Amino acid sequence: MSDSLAPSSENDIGQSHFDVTVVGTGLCESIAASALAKRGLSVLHLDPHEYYGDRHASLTVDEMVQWVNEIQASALHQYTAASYEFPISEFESNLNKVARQYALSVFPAILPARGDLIDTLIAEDVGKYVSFRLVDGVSTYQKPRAGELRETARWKRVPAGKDQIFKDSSLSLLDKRRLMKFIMFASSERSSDGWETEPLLQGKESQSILEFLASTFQLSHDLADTIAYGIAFCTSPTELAKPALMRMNRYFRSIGRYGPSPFLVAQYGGVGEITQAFCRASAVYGGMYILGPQGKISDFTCTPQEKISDHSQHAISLRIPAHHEPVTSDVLIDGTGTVLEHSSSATEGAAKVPSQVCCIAILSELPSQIQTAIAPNTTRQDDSADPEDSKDEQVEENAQDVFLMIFPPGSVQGGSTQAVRALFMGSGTGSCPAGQFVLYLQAMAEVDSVVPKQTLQPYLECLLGDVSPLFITYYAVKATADPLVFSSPTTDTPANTTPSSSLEQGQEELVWFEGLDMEAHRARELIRRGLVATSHRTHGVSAEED
Amino acid sequence: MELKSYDKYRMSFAPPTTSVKLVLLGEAAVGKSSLVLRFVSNDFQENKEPTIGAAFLTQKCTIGERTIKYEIWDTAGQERFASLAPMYYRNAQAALVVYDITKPASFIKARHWVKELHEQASKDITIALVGNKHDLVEDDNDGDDSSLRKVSIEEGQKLADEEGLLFFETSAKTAYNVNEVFVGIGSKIPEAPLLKPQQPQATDGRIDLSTGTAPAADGCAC
Ligand SMILES: Cc1cc2nc3c(=O)[nH]c(=O)nc-3n(C[C@H](O)[C@H](O)[C@H](O)COP(=O)(O)OP(=O)(O)OC[C@H]3O[C@@H](n4cnc5c(N)ncnc54)[C@H](O)[C@@H]3O)c2cc1C
Ligand SMILES: Nc1nc2c(ncn2[C@@H]2O[C@H](COP(=O)(O)OP(=O)(O)OP(=O)(O)O)[C@@H](O)[C@H]2O)c(=O)[nH]1
Ligand SMILES: [Mg+2]
Repeated sequence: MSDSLAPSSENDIGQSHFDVTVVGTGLCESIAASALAKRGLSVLHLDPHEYYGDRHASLTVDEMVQWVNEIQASALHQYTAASYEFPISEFESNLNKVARQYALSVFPAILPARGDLIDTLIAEDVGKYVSFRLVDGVSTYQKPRAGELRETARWKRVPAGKDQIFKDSSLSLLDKRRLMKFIMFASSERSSDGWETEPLLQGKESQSILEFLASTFQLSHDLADTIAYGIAFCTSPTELAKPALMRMNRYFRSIGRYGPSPFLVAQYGGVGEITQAFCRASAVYGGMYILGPQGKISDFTCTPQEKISDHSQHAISLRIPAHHEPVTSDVLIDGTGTVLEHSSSATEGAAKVPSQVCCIAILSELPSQIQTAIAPNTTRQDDSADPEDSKDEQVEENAQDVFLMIFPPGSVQGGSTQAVRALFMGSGTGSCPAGQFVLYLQAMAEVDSVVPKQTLQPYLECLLGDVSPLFITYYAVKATADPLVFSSPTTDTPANTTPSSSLEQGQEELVWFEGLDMEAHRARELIRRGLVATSHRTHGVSAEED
Repeated sequence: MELKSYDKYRMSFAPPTTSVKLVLLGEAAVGKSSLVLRFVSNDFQENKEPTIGAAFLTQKCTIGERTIKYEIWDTAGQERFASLAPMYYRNAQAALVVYDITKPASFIKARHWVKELHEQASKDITIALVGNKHDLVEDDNDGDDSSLRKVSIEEGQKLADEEGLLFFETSAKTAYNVNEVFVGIGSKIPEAPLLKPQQPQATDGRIDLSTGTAPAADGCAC
């Protein structure tokens, strides 16, 4: 295989067959590409864009502008309603000088310290390519109580773990005891179906998490809110107890693995770096990478099994501009839904209405509301703090570079009836120049009309006050469709739809909350399918499945 | 694994080791991997296969009082179709831009990489321009038309001066000047460690995923 990597010349990539072709450099495709290359298969990895990451890309500002233009031209089917603004015109006129100092994530996500993606990063030894850091904290926005002035709405720092609960002077002794009791319950280790048989949940299957916290653990309304939105990351007040508890279980078990926070983010723009790391791993094992128009597929065919006459023939054939003759493969994985123009996910099962609206803003100063939100223990000033404590806080204050701010449903006037999340990143994350900040906002899309700006405006006003961002972009996202797998089933394949089929949606309940772990989960299925489709060619590589 | 924990042990008692991410760039077959092999293992392979499977090597280098730990990233072939991931350069404190002094096209490519690094990499990156395969021209007389040399020292030096780069001609085959490249880079790397002291959980400012503590040990901190 290795002799085929002749120096590239015009129109020749040095080989015309790859066991596996992968289209799209989104996270699950990239994980699959690296795993398949590592197992000895030859992998051709293409992406029609010039950048890595597809739906998980981290973009520079100029790339972001192009990306929005592409959405407006309906060329990216997962997104709609995109727009951008340069409220500070000097920034726009200077753009070509500074654009590349930014890494903006189109999929701003945090990574729990325990889960499928972390496991995959460790198992495949890919974590070494990425710098991770901890999320510094989470705050929830507390609605002013009736009779209180609007200005007194406050940020409540969500205590991470025992130490912080003890130190939290806003909690009464009784609250603390109840809270500890709840955390003991929610954090204990159990098997995945342990929740089915959990005595405290029996007969409460239809209870919301808020009701459950109040009735079973006598937690106050405020505390229950903080827990439901700040720890379980519920989006609506009606969310059921069990799934919320499962997420909290993961949250608590993630604390302490890499430090006091349960969450990590990748430096330099987040998940985009993680996809690049998997692509690098794949390249290290011989995967070939072609990005941009040179790798754009045409003349794609997938031949059904019965038409394949002898073993030298391959199920997949396609053309790319980079190569002078057709390229063959045994299996093709398409994460972009663009290979077969008409069977693309645009017409298949998956939801076609946007599920979320997002915005990304670059700030050149720290708005006072955000400053309050990320300052340690802002709710009530702790006058009695001993010197030891204030020293701790001093240290903490220096390192507030990654922060989550949660608006519970209805906490902002004119806002959404569901929770809205903001992710704040300072220059320490390598995603913007020193002294600047990147703010991500995300809300569920309205059912009737999707206007991201309209939905997010009240929250932006609340967070930014009169600070004008240097750049701001809005967009709406549809749920990620599972990648398509094209292959000819070999005799040992379970009867499966040919030539293309969407992946099964097993076990989703366990992983639905974390988009990144969902990708690791999808990748497993892609790897399995890839191994099955190539098993007749490779020796010693088996599609082992348990 | 054992080595790693030994390193950590050492680091906490010995004078601080500066960790430096160093990336290699240059056209295929100019000898990037061979230079690393020479530096790391003092070895050379006559017909080295194009790089696949080499990811990440580390090598310590002592310069006076200081120890520099190079974390060397080889390209893994992703640059072949202009598909080098930006993460490759991210946070790199040093880069070797390598060309083959017998291949003019590789020098043109080197110019391209220098430009790319100035645009994409961090501002304070230390770049060394390296003209490799010096052994092939060793017995040449200057001005000899039959010489294998196609890129003169002056051309290399000129580019280096214009762009503010270190400049070396090397041979991975004979080891000529190879250590000098790494020592030269090391002595230009700023002394102050770039670590944030506030992040105690991180070594070298980053979290090592595989060393997270076991769930039983401290679990949920409760
Ligand atoms: C401010 C902010 C805070 C966040 N906080 C968390 C958090 O605490 N924990 C966490 O796991 N994730 C968080 N993320 C969410 C992350 O971006 C994903 O949306 C999330 O992990 C997937 O959630 P879901 O499956 O519940 O969403 P759903 O609404 O159920 O799923 C929506 C689908 O859209 C896709 N999707 C979601 N967001 C995007 C996007 N931005 N671009 C492209 N596709 C997208 C997902 O793959 C998912 O399949 C946050 C995002 C933002 C902007
Ligand atoms: N004579 C001579 N040959 C060298 C020297 N350095 C490398 N080579 C040979 O040049 C060829 C390519 O060397 P590599 O180290 O694989 O080059 P590379 O830049 O890593 O190539 P890619 O990984 O394909 O990008 C091999 O056959 C080496 O043996 C040198 O200094 N002198
Ligand atoms: Mg090499």
